[in-house]
Amino acid sequence: MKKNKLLLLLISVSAFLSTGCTVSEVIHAERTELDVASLQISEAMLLDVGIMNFEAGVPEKNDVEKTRIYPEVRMAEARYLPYHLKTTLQGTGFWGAVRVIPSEYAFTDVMLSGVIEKSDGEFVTIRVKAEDALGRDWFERSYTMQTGISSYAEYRDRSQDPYQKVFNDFANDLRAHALTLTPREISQIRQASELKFFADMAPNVYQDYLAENGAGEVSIVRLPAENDPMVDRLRQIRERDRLVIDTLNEHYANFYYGIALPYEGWRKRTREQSIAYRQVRRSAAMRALIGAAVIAGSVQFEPSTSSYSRYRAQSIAQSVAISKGMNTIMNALRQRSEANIHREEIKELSESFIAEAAPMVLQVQGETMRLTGTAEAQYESWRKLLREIYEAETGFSDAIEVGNPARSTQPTG
Amino acid sequence: MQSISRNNSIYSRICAGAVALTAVLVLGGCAVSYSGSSGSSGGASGGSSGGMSGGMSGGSSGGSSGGSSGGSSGGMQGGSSGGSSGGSSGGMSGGSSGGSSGGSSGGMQGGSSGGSSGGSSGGMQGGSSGGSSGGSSGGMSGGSSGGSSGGSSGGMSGGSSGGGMEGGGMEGGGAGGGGGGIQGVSGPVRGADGPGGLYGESECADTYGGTDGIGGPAGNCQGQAGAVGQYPGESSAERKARLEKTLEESVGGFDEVLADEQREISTVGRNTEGFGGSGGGGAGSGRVGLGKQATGGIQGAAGEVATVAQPREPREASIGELSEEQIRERTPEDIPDLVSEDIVARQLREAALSEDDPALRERLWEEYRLYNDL
Repeated sequence: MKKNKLLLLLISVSAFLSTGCTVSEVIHAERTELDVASLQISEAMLLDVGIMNFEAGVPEKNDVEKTRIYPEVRMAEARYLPYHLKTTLQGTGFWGAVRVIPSEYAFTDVMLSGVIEKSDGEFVTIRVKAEDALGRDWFERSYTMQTGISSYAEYRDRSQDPYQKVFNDFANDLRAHALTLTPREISQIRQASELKFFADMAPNVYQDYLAENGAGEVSIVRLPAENDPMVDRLRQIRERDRLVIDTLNEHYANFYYGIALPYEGWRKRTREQSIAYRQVRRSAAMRALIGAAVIAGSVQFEPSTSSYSRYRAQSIAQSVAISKGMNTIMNALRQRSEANIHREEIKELSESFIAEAAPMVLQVQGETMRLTGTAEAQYESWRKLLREIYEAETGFSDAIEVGNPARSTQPTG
Repeated sequence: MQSISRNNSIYSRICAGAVALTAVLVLGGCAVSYSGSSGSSGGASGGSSGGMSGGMSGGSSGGSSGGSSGGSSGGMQGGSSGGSSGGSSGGMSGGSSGGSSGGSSGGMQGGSSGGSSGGSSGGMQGGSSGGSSGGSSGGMSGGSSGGSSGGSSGGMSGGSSGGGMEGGGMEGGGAGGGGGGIQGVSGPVRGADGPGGLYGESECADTYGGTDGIGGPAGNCQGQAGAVGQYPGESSAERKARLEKTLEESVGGFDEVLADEQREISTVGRNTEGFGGSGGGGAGSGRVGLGKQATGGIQGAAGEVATVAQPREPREASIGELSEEQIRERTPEDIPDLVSEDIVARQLREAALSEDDPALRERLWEEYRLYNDL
């Protein structure tokens, strides 16, 4: 009797499972409220933020088939995500000018850099580092989240990125750290970034105003006089430098809006396919297990009854169970191979997105190089002019060659 | 008697011959010494020094790019600059060459300036000329400069020196880069810079870095010591003012470049559909605000303003009294909310918004559309 019941139970379970296994997915992603300034903050307490393009985080020997990390997709993300972080930080009201900068030589008060460790539309992990103009590291953390179905809803506000939680978490952390700074420290950070710029443009005058230790930390040795005419000139030039960065940001904005919809489409469909793939694989595995269990149980079952009719019934039930188990296993194998369809779908989606995004990436890279090259050439001529003006003002004939400026003409990313 | 008279005639012939021979020798020697220079001739431009062939007295170098051609030396106060640009030259002793381009000057005394300022290149238009001017001092009036400007080096073809060479005995004004410009067999080729052809020292040598030249009257060894890149007769204050003006103009020009760039960027359409603002991440209008900027617009020297994008929050100035709703009503639908506008576009917009007369307002919007190619 017990064995009959067990057999019937196995058949039922097998029948049930063969109709399909579902794995629940996230509907609503976790959210973080962004801290926004409720009062206007004094301009003297605002720090400017520069965000460098992220590193793509592509492994050295990347096997696309295995990792499903497409370098071209990551390159597009490496430019898109920093810009969205910029818009997020701007929205808080806690910061001065927030810009995406082409290289670390665009001297700003606070500099952010990051690496995309994972991004497949469903899961994202970004490691971000913050440091200030005094060379002090603020913090470096990884931020991760899982998106949900509603993250890609058509009706939602697109200024809220599907990965918004990551950006909000980081923005809140950045703000929390800034709150630990005293007004004096904030002032020193601003002075340091200004002096770094001055030293870059007029090293013969200002290279000794800052001292750097072995750890890369900077200290202010002395400050220029406020009525120093050279300070006025350099501040005017710095404004032009900021204008160059702002103009670059306009190019980045064009890229951001141009790629926003295709990128979201890629993330959404890739997420769906990833989930489908996972579900199918899991289902196939479950089925295979159940099928094997049913067969094993059925084989072990031995009809034992003195009645021929009962014996016959038990034998038939055993056969059915074994057959069911076999079918379940066959279905599992079929499902497993079907899962690969989703992987192929992801591949096609990525290639389609790359075809759309690559030209935009190239264009923005070209614009960046052109504008930074033009600016750098102009800065060189200004450096020489400033040197001559200084010589005329002071009578010092500086025989020291200016040499290569700290600024590089090759923007990163 | 007849023998005596015969003897007398012989003697007189001999004397005449000796005089003639002496004259020939004297003149021929100068020619010989000069011929060397011709090699350098003119416009050696740069590196003439190399060209300072032996015979180059005064090292006109001819080539001294800038053609100050060594010859100028002597008269080339402050240096031959001639050669400077392009760094003359080896021949330019005392660094007259200045090689100034790049401002090394160093040895360029007496305002060789010459090339130095030229070195500034960059924004220094014509400033460089300084280069030559330095050289012009002294004998080189007329600013031979010649090639100095910005190290035009080599630009000193012919003339400069030629023209200006005064008091230097550079006859024929050859000097200058003029090939073989250094005439002046007769006169002293001053300031022989450079190797070869250095004959003794000119009186200017001490002052101008050892330019050697054919001995002879220094001629015009005027030349005032001045800073590198300084025009003759220019004081430090004047030079500073000139450089500042150049800087201001350069900055203004750069503003125009940026304004053009921003104008071009603004013509690119952005699909901001769905980017409504609701706190935390995105400008309310769907346009990207650049946050608080350090400046709201910089007035360039040319009057062109390269504006910085600003958040489209409360408008101020002439339309400060209008509410957002009024602004929306007065703005035609086809007028986009541009993130960055130059001052002209912004003034047109503000004028249109503040205009109460609908007809005039439409005309102003029309002008705005024309200006922005909408």
